[in-house]
Amino acid sequence: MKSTGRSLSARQVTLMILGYGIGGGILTLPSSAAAIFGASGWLAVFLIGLIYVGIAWVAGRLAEKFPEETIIEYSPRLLGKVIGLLFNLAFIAHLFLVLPVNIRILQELANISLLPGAPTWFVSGTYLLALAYGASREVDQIAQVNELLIEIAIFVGLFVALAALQHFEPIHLLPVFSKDQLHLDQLEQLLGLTFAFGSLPVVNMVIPYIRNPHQTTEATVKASFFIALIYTFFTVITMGVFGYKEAIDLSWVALELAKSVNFRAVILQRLDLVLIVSWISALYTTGLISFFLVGLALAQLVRVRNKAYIIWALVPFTYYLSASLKNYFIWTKWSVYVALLALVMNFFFYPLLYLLSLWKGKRHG
Amino acid sequence: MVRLVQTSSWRKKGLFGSLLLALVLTTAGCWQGRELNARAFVTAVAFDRPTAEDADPDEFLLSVQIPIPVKMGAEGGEGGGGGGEHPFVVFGTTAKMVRIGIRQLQRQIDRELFFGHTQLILINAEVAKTIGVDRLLDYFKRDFRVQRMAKIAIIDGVAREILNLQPPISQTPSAYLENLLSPQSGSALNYITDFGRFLVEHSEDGTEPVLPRLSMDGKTVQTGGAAVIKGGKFTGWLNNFETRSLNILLNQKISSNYVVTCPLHPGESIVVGVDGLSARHRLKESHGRTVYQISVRGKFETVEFSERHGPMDVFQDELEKVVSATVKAELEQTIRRAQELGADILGVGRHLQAFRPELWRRMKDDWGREFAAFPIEVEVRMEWAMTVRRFGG
Repeated sequence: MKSTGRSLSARQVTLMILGYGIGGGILTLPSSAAAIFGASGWLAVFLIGLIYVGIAWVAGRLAEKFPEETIIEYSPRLLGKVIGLLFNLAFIAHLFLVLPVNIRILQELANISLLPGAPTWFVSGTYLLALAYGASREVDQIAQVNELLIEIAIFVGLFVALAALQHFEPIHLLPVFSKDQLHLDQLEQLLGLTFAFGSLPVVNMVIPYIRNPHQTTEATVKASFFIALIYTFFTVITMGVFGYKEAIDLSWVALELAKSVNFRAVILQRLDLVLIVSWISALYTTGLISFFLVGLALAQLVRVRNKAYIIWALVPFTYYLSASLKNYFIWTKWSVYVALLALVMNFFFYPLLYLLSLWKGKRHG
Repeated sequence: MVRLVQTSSWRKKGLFGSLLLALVLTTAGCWQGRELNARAFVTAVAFDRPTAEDADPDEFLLSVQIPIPVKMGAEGGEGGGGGGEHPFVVFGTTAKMVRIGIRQLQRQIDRELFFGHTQLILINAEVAKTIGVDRLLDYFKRDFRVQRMAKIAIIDGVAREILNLQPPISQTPSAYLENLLSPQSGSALNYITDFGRFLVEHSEDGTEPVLPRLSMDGKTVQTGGAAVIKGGKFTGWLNNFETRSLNILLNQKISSNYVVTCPLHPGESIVVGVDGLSARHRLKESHGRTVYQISVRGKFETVEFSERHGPMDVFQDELEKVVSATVKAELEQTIRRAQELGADILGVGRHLQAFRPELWRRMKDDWGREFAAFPIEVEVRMEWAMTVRRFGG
């Protein structure tokens, strides 16, 4: 990839990482955190977020080492052809598998509040077409759409969280890591918890489009820190309002938070609907960026010039997968697999690739 | 060449525009949408014992209140063709499960019963004691449409009678009852809570939920008092003043009036208006044991005197002591009542869990009995704000 179309600012990259990371995961994150860590789930979310900030630094530095190429292009050189190819396939798979979960979450949210009884072919189908249409555009257009939508979603989400402060009780956040509340044996839940944090692939795919590649690490670390802060803030408010036991029992804990708040003013009387409508934007940015990255990565892997062909070709398969995630339990299990794959990428391959790039750089130097 | 590119671009835009237009035209309405006149909005629900003598003890009488929109337009329900009749109807049926009861009711009503606007859930005390609140509320906490802000109350009497009540001041009956149960009623003698808060308190270890009491007094409904729920079932009542004290202990930001004896003129009474109350809860070690200490601070004003004198500087200290002692005595009575019932409505267990987890681990399995004997101290300091309009009698 040559640096012909360097149009993204550092701010847009930060927002793209936020846009990819903040989506459906945050709606269920406090519940998973409470199930594993009890009342100190909020602290666990913050600590996990900080670990991801560290990994974000590695991902950013790795991207800066190859400012002209995506990870798909340089990984075979670092890992060797066969392992590089396998890595690329796993990398693309982990980006792609986000899509069915993302579509399924939208389907459930639409059925819960907006269009009860609306069939999958209509809700998921329309949404998937909108995703494919958006993802087949150029990266600068995607960055602009993301910039607008994710800011609206975060603003509304923070408004709901702040409005819920009236029910906040600090005692719900204690005790810190009490052993009778810790359930670290719930491995699936623990993996699912990390699902919401896996937004680093963005930077290793869009680096050739960044105007000032040397700002990449800073933008990535900043985005990861924002994600950690937003998740922690949201989990603190949710657990402070509901307590950890009630939070465990709620499937869409963020929606329940919105249902707990009421303003006697026309549209704000149903804050849950306001949240859902705006959160569809956040879901869309996740799906949009994910689909774009899948199209871009596959196009580079199979050397197709126009990624749009690949994106549209993937639509039926994506629809089939999303339709096979028939209920809450199935898609949460699926998100665990995605999280597992993302964990391997983030904590094994990124550091490995970075070390290999340092080693090879030194050898050639 | 340029022209060809432009044509292709316009064709793409046209295609996208047509697609967008088709979507807008087909998705602007609701999927499986129902017209408003095809829905029966349930504003209040009541649970009672079935009227039949030989009724199954597991059964309850489920009643729903549905407003008649055409009769709700004018005062007293007389406008819009109301002709002085109630602007609502109440339907009832007997069932063992709520959803089955709703299905039964649906057989009498030609519109779909819709619980998204339900503001009140009223439960007869006997039903709350025998069947339990848990089973009655299970359907409502699973239905996405039910709001967490709906009010719940335990009824000392027949809950269905309250649904049939016509409010004395023009408004919808459920709005009237909802206002009575909210802080705006201003009596401070009813416990302020809602469905969401009840669920939170009920789910927590180391605290038991409380629900407000409603009772019928002739043809009017009265608030005051509260029902203690333990293990999901009604356990006992708190009287009006115990409920007021519970509101203070739980920092419900109430203001209320107390009658105290004049420190200078025994036999004379002064009414004081108490406000700005705050309670601070903490655990402390005293003589080798853990004590739960509640410190209450607040301000008061003298608002009425029984004899011909007004506020005087000379009895400031004495009056502050008298008011503090009166408030303290009432708070202690509430704590005694909670310990008698073995129901931790103060959240002592929750504090132990948060700040003394080791101690909590030892006590939690038998917390009801441990709480009954747990040392709780109350300390009250009330200050006279002394905003005086008139000194003399």
